[in-house]
Amino acid sequence: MSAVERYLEELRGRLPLTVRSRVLAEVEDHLRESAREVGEDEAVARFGPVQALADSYRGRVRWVHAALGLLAALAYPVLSYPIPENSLPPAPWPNVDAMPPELAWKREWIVVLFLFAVVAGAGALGGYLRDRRLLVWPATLALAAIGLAGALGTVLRFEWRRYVPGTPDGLLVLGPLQVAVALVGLALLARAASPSRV
Amino acid sequence: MRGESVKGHLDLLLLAELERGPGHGYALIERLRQRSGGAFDFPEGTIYPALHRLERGGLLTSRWSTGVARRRRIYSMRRRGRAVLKDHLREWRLFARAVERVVGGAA
Repeated sequence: MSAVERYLEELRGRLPLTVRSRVLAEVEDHLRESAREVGEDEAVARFGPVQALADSYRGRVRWVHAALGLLAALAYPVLSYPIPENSLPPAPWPNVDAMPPELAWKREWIVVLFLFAVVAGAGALGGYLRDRRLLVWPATLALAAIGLAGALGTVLRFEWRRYVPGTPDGLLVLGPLQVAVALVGLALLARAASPSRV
Repeated sequence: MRGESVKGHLDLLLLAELERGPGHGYALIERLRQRSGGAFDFPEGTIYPALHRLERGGLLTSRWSTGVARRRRIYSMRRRGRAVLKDHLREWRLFARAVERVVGGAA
């Protein structure tokens, strides 16, 4: 295997899938042209280390993952909302205003936290389109709010079972799952914002 | 000239070079090398992430060339790139003049 082929093979294994074919095509063209002038070894040496090149693309992909993580965390409560709505047995109170206070305040706070997360998340994604680093703080707040709402939702569903017999046990996993999605989002954000990334 | 110094100004150099006419990565490196009298010495691979970033920012456009043995990505300037280049050049000239005023009398 020639020096150029070795370089391309190594680069192939380190580039993110989304940019791989285009970058490899351009790099191969460059190296072959350069090798005609200065020889393969010198062409590869002039091109620079594989890892540095791959890192400059991986850095961008990490930011894309962080933005997608935020979107997933914001979408989760919306997508999972119909599950309890369609599986809960009728509540024993006549209307929402008559809901036991210990359930009512948690329900209201979950709504407030979710609305806060939507506003902060929209700000984060809007900022991201201008400069990816603007994603960090509003997204952190949005994900923290989603996680907090998930934790509060877990407590609410536990208590709900006491008041509403027949509440399915399966609903108890929705809250922890929401917390998990928020934590994954925070981890992706931390990885993207890590100063060692290009 | 040290690679790190050049890398800090790579966007400006690429935009300035593409303002003179479209080109693919290898040709751009060659043009930069010739125009700088061989002063710029940086890893050639760093040009591609910079070109891709400028393209994503809407400053450049690119297409695969046809009619050559290998596929080649040809980059050219967009209107927005010209406007940004103008701003960068103005900043660069101010900066260069200021640095010269400070260090000009030294040594």
